[in-house]
Amino acid sequence: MVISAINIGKSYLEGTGSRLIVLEDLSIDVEGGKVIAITGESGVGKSTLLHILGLLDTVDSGRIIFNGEDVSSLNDSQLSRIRNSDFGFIFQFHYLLPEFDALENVALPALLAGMSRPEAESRAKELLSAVGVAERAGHFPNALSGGEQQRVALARALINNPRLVLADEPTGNLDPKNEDKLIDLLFGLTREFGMAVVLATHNMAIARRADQSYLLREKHLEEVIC
Amino acid sequence: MRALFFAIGQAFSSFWRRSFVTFLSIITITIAMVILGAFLLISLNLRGAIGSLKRQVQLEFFLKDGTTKADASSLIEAIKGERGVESVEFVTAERAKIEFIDEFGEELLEGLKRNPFPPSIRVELAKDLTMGEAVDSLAAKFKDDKLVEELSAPNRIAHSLAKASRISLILTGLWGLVLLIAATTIITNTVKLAISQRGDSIRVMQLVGASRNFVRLPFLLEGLIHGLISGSLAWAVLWGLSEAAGYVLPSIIPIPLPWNISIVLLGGAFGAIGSIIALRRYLNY
Ligand SMILES: Nc1ncnc2c1ncn2[C@@H]1O[C@H](COP(=O)(O)OP(=O)(O)OP(=O)(O)O)[C@@H](O)[C@H]1O
Ligand SMILES: [Mg+2]
Repeated sequence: MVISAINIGKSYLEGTGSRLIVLEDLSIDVEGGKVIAITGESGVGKSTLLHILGLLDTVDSGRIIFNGEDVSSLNDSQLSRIRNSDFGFIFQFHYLLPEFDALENVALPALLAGMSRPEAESRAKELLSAVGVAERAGHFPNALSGGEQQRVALARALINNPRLVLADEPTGNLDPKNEDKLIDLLFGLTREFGMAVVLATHNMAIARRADQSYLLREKHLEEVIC
Repeated sequence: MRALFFAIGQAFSSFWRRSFVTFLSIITITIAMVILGAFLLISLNLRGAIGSLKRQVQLEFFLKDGTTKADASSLIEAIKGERGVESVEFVTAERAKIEFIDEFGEELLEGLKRNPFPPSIRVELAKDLTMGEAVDSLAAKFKDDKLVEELSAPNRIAHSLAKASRISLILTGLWGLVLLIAATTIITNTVKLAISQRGDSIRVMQLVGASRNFVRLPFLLEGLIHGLISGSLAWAVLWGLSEAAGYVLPSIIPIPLPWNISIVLLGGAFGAIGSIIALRRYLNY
C-alpha cells in the first residue's frame, strides 16, 4: 500500500463563518502500481481529496497512513521530502516556473533531492524525449502550447521515480487530441515504471481505462464497477 | 548551498520584475532613514557643543574684598557638600590678577594702583549632571551668603543647548519609532506583492517538495536586500551631507563609523522584520 486514507473528514471555514463539510468518513487505499480514477461533479471535493493524499493539506478527522506511518506526526520538512521523492503532481493549470526553461523545470525536483546538475539534466532530457517534447527543452513555459506544458509537467512529475502520481484534471484545458496523447503517456509511463496513479477527471472514457474507478458523491466515495 | 543560490536568484528576479514598486519603496525608506540620520547628526553635534562649553563653565562666587581663605573655609566646606559639585577652589586676588595678565597682558592693568580683582571661590560641576539644576540650586543657596559679593552665572547658552539636545534626542527617538513602523510596513507590502505575484510558483515549489523554509527564503532575502540597499543609500547620502556640512562648519562632528554601519544594519533589520510579517500573514500553507 502506498497511501491510505482512513475515515477522513475535511471541512472548510466559509466566509459566513459556517463550516462547509466536503469529505466525511471517507476511506481509500492506494495500492502500488494501480491506477485509480476519481470522478464526480464539479465542487464535490476531488481536488480536496487529491491535496490531502498529496500531503498538501491536512484532515480534520481520520488518518492518512503513508508507508505504515500516520502522517500527522510528520513535520514540514519530512512532508516536503515525501512530496519530493515519493509523489509526482500534475494539475490542471500547468504549474511550471516561468523563469525556468522546460529542461530546468523538469530537473527541479531532482535538484531539490540533491542530484547533481548534469545528472538531473540528462535524466530530464530522457523524460522530455519520452513525453515527446525533447526539441522544446530550451523553451520557456510561455513559449509552449498548453499540451506541451502539460507534458513537461508530466516529465517533471516522473523525474524522481515517485511511487504515486497525483493528477488533478490534467487534461482539463486540452483539446481531445492532446488529451488522448497526455493520458496515453501518463498511463503508459506510470505502468512502465510501476507507479500508482490517482487521477481526478470529468471524462468517463478516461476513468474506464483505470484499474479502479470511484465516484465522489455527497462526501463519500462509491466504487464504480464497469 | 544550492538552495541558497536558488533563493538568491529568485529574490533578485522578483526584484527586477517589480522594479518600479521596489524603487519607490527603497527611495521612501532611504529618505526616512536620512531624516533619522540628520536628527542623529544634529543631536550628536549639540552634545558635542555642550561638552566643550561645559568644560569652560564653572560657577564662580566673587567674595568681598579682603576675604581670606580662612574666612571662607566654612563656606567652601558647605559648597563642597553639595550635590553635583566636583571640586571647589579658593582663588586669591593675587592669583586672579596673574591669570588675567597671562590671558590678556599687563597693559590693561597699567596705571591701576590697587588690585581690581576680588578673591573668589570657583566651583567645578560634575559633567554628567544636567546643567540647569545644579547651577540653579547652587546659585540660589549661596548667592546671599554674607561673604559673597557677586555671582558669575555659568554660560546660559550651555543650559539652552542641553535643552535643545534633549529635545533633539527625543525627536530622534520618536522619528526612529515612526521609521520602524513605516519602513517595516512598506517592506511588508512589497513582499506581500511579491508573494501574490508568485502564488503559482510558490505552489509549484510546494508540489515538487520544497520545504516551507526553502519557499520562504527568497522572500526573506528580498526584504533583506531591500532594507540593506535602503540603509546603504541612506548612509551614502548622510556621508555626503556631513562632508558638505564640513565645508561650511569645519568643526562639525561626523556620524561615527559604528553608527554608519548601524544605519545599514538597521535597514537590513527593517527588511527582515517586514518580510517575516508578510510571510506570516500572506504565505498561508
Ligand atoms: N481553501 C478553501 N476554502 C474554502 N472552501 C474551499 C477551499 N477549497 C475548496 N473549497 C470548497 O470545497 C468544495 C470542494 O472543492 P474542490 O476544489 O475539492 O472540488 P472539485 O471536485 O475539485 O471541483 P472541480 O471539479 O470544479 O475541480 C467546493 O465547494 C469548494 O468551493
Ligand atoms: Mg478540482
